[in-house]
Amino acid sequence: MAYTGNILRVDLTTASIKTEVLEESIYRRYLGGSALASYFLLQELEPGIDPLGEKNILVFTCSILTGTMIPGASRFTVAAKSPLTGGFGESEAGGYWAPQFKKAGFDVLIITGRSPEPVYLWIHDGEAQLRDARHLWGKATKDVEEGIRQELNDEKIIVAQTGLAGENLVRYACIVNNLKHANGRTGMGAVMGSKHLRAVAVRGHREVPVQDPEVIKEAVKRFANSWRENPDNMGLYNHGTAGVVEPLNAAGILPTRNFVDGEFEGCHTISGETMTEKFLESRKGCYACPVRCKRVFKGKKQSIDPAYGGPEYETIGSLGSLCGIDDFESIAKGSMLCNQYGMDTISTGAAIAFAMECNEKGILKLEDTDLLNLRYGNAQAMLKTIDKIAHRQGLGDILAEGVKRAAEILGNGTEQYALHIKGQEIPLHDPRGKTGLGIGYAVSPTGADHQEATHDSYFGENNWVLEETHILGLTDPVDALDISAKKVRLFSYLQKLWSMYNSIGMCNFIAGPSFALPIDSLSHLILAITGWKTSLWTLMKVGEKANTMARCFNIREGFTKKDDILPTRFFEPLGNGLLEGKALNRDEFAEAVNLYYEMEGWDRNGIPTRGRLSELELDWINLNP
Amino acid sequence: MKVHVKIGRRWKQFAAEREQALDLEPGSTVADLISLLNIPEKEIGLIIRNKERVHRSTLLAHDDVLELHSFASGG
Repeated sequence: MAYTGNILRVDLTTASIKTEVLEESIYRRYLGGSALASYFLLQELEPGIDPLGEKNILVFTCSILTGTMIPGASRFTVAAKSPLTGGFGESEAGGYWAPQFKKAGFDVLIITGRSPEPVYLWIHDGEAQLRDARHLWGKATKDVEEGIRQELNDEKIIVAQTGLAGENLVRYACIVNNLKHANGRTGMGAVMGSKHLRAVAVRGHREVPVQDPEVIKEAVKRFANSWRENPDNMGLYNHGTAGVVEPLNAAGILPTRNFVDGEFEGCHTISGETMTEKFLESRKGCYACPVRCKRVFKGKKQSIDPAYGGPEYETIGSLGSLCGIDDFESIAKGSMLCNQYGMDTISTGAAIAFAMECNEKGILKLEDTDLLNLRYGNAQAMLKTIDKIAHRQGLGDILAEGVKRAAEILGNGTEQYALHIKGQEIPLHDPRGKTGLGIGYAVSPTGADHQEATHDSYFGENNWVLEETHILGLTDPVDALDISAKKVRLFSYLQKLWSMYNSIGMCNFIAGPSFALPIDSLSHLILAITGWKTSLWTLMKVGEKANTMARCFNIREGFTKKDDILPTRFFEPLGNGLLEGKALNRDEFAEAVNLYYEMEGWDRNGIPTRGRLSELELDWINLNP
Repeated sequence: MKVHVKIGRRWKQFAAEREQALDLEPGSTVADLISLLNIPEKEIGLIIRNKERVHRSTLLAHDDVLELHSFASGG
C-alpha cells in the first residue's frame, strides 16, 4: 500500500526509541509531507516554547508516493517551530534520503528532547539506534557523511545532517542530505543542532509495495519518453535552475544589491548558460528522476569540491547579484561552503547583502565588519563572512541571528535594510514584477517563500501554460503585474496545488503546470499506488488543509494580520531595468491580502472561521490553548 | 518594414546570430515574427519590444527592437 504505517519516535533526553502505528485514516486525511507534519506539530507541540529548547519537536515525514518509481516523488518534509520566525517551520528536500527511509520501514520520524551528548541516529531495515557522534561534532558535512559510512561499513547509506552552523545555532542552519540536497529554509538545522543530533543515517532494503505495479510502470515509461518535449524540463536539464538568471534580468526583476535594482550588469557572467558553457562537469538528480537538474560545478581558479554540487538559481542570486558579485567561481565556492557548514544559501546571501548595504550607507564602519571591506561586489568579503557566520565570529555572530534580529542588535536605522517577512529573509524573486508571488510572500506561514505557488510569469496572454491550468478552473490570462481579484484567485488555487505537492512529496519542477507530469495524472497514480479513489478536488483539499493548519500554528504562537506584510522596499521604485520606477501600491496590496483571507474562508483578521475549519475536518484545532 | 530581434542565449543552437534584422510585411505581429524564427515557440515566455513587455498579438512597427526570452519564472 506504499506506506509502512510506522512512526519512529525518538526521545533524545532519555535515549528511548519506539515504533508506533500510524492509522490509515490519518494517512488518507493528510497523505504525508507537509500536511502530516503540520498535524503532528499541532497535536504535540506546546505553544510558546523556545524553538531552540528541549521542548521543540522535529518531524520528518515522507508520503504515500515516496519510494515508488514515480519521477519527482522523492521529496520529504522536515518541520518544527522555527528558530528564525518563531512560527511554523517547514522545509522540503529531494535527493535519496526519503526513499531509503521508507525502504527502512518508516513513514514518519518524530524527534523529541535533547541528548546530553552529540549523537546520530542510524535507521536500517526496521531498526533504529542512537550512536555516539562526539567524534563527528564540529566537522564538515562531507567528513561526517564519510565517517558514518565508514563506521557502519556501507557506502550506500544516505545521511541527512546538520552542520557546524546547526551546532552553533545559526538560526537559518539547514539540513543537508548527500551534501547537496537541502531542507534549506526556516532553520530546521538549528533545531537539529540544539538537540545535539548531528545526523540521521538511513538504509533500507524493503520493497515499497504498490497496488497496481503495471500502471506505475507504464506511467514511468510514458514520462521517460516524453519529458524532453517539455520546454521547462529541458531548460532544467540544460542549464539547471540557473536558467532563469537571464530571463529574470531581462524582465527587470533579478534581485540586485539587496533588491535596490532589478537588472544586474554582471548577469551574463553568472547565468545558467555560462555555467553550462564554462563550468559544468556533470548533471545529477534525485531518486527516480530522469531530468537531472542538479549541477556539478568545475572550478578553474577556485578549488570547489564536486561532492557538494553546484549552485542553484537561488544561490546564484543570493551570493551573486544580491551582493553585486559577478565572479561565478566565488559564488560556487560560497555555495560549497554553505553546504559544508549546513546553511541556507538564501538567508546567508540576504544577511550578507544586508550588511553590505549597511556598510555602503555608512552605518557599519570597517571596524564593525571585522576589517572586511564588505561592499557590493567584494567576493572575498562574501566568502569570509560565510565562514564567520558559521563559526559565529565577529559580525558573523550577529548575522547568524538573521536580518531581523541583526537589525535589532545593530540599531541606527538598519531595520530599513533588513528585508524579511515574519523574520525569514526574502528569496530571489521580486514581488514588484510578480504580484502573486508577493501575496504568497506575505501570507506564507513560513515567512517569505518563493515555493508557495506557480510564479505569475506563466499566465500572461497566449501563454500555453494556461491550457494546463484549465483543469483547475483557471482559464483567463492574468498579467504578472495585475493585482486584482483575478490574481488573488489565481494565487489561491495555485497555493493549494503547491501545498498538495508538498504533502505528497512531489517536486514542483515535475508536476507544476508548466512541467511534464500532467496535474490530472496524480489521482490516477495515487489509485494505482494505494487503491484509494481520490480526485484533483480531494487532493487540493489536502493542500488547503496543510496551509490552514500551518496558519493555525502561527495563530497559536501569536502571529496576527500585522505579520502578513512586505518590507517597505517593495513599495519603493525599482532602481533600474525594465521595471525601473515600478513599486507596489500599499492600498492595492492590502486589499489583495484582505481578499485572499475572504477567499480562504478566514475572518478579517486572517483567522480561519469555525465553518472553514469544520469543512476541512480541522475543528479539533484549538486556536486558544 | 525592418524589425531588429535579439534572442536569449539558451537558443543559440537555433540561430546563427543572436541579433538579427528581419524584413516583415506591414501589419505583422510578434507571433508572425516568431513563426519565422527557428526557436521552440513554447519556450518563449517573455517578449520585450522597445523596452516594454508585449504579447504575441502585439503589432510591430518599422525599426522596432524585439527581445525574446524564456519564462522569468521560479528557481
